[in-house]
Amino acid sequence: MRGWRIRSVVIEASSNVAAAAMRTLLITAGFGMAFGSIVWIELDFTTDLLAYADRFREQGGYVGVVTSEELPIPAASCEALNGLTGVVAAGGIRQSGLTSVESAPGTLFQRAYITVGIIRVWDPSARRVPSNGAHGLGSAAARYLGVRSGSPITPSGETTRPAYVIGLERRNEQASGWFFNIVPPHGVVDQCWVELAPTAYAGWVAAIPAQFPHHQVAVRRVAALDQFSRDPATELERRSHRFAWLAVGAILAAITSIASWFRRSEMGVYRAFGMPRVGLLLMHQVETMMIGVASLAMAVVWAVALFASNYGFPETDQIQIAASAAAKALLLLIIAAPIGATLAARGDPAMLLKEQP
Amino acid sequence: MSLRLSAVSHRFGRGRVILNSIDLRVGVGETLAIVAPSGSGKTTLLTILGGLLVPTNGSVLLDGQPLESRRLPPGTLAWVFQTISLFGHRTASENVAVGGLAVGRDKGTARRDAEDLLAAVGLAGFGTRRANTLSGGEAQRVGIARALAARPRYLLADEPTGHLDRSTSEVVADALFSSRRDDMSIIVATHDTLIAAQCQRALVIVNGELREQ
Repeated sequence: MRGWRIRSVVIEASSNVAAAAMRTLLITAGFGMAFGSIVWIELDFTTDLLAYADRFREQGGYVGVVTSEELPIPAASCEALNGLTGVVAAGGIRQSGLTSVESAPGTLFQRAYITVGIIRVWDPSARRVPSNGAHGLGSAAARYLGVRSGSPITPSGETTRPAYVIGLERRNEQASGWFFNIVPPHGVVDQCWVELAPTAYAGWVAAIPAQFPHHQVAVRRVAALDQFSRDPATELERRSHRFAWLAVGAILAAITSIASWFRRSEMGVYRAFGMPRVGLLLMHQVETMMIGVASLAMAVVWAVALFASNYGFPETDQIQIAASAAAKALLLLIIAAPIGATLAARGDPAMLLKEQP
Repeated sequence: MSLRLSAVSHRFGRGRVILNSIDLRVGVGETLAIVAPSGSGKTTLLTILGGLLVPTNGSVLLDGQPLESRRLPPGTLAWVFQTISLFGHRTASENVAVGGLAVGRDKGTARRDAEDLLAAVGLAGFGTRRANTLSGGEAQRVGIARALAARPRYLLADEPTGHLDRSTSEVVADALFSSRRDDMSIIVATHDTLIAAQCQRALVIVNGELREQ
């Protein structure tokens, strides 16, 4: 005589799912809401991103420079532009003589004080922004000195600090060979640079000059996609909720494991009838898979339908991104939940059987 | 061909000794009752016999081989539990079929056998009833049918009538013994004299030791 066949274990799993209809419905609804949340968040995020990209393609974006020949600009006013609607980034710069560094005595670099915001205007591809007090180097200066971001650098008469290399080729090539002190927005600056969202220009024309009534304001249009600060692919890759599937999958797996504690006596019966632990694992896995796949399908259909009714039908790519994030959560759930459930059912079958199924 | 306990002793943690140096042999086709009041160790003895609990000392031998050293071959042992351990949301027939699936039968055969076994324990026509709609006696007979479906050499029953009234106990006892195959041994832990009277041999646990009644 042979023991449990794999097929029999699968049949048991499907019978359990089918027989406990109310339990199955409740779990499916719970999973569905969790997966649906992921789908909704992703659809919402990608819709915003695509709309922005479309507007940029159609209308381009703008970089403005506020300058003054006689009256310096308050640095705080410049940085404060970052809070305004339609402003992607803003920051100021003040030139300040020449300097040298200890590793290249005799070579003089133009020195300038800059606020953090200007780095985002100059270098749209910057992956991180340095803290105040860091030393900055234009990319040409960094190449000349053989310095990379994070390398220590000592300007003459100043403290050694890690260097931050700023890519300036695209927006301010003439400053590419400069040395920068990255400082808080105190005091005054010579220029205030601001990048505007594609649709912000019309409003900006009226709003920004009103804040700088005594300064000149010049704006140029940047339509090339490589100058687009909000790069859709990068933003998608770095979105803050990109690991939401991990959290959702882990939480659902934990809840499933805890819930399976109440099925310990059932596990005890199977164990007493010779089902090995791996059989229990498989049974849980099949049950989770059946309920999970149904929940995922339901979640995608409902979330897309609801989204379409509110904001229009999403693109196929968006649905793919959203569904794949939810599918990752399901995959994690399928892998982790049965392990937790089997651990919950570990121990002496005689003890498990003391609980009424 | 036998199931043997050799010098088995057991205690839970640092508590008192529940079983003390017990020797027991159960032969093929034998029916044996282990009689004792609650808390005297008969369930512990049964779970040790069934390989669900490893004794503190001594060994359990199945056909001369230590029971704990290998996985039990399918069809060796089956259980009737003290609590009615049925899957409440599934039908009586599905519950019984679990015994058949456990010994490698396919779903169709297991379901057909289940109907026959339900009839054998007096529950013909109950196959489609959900287990949670059955009375205590009916549910326990489903449990017996499930154990029989595994076609075991040894059927271990732990207080099968423990929570049933007298008349229902008689029906369950009848189901247990009347459907027995000649090559199947029954070991039943009970404090019910009705059950003990139907066994060929009855042993009693006194102060952790096993004695002939």
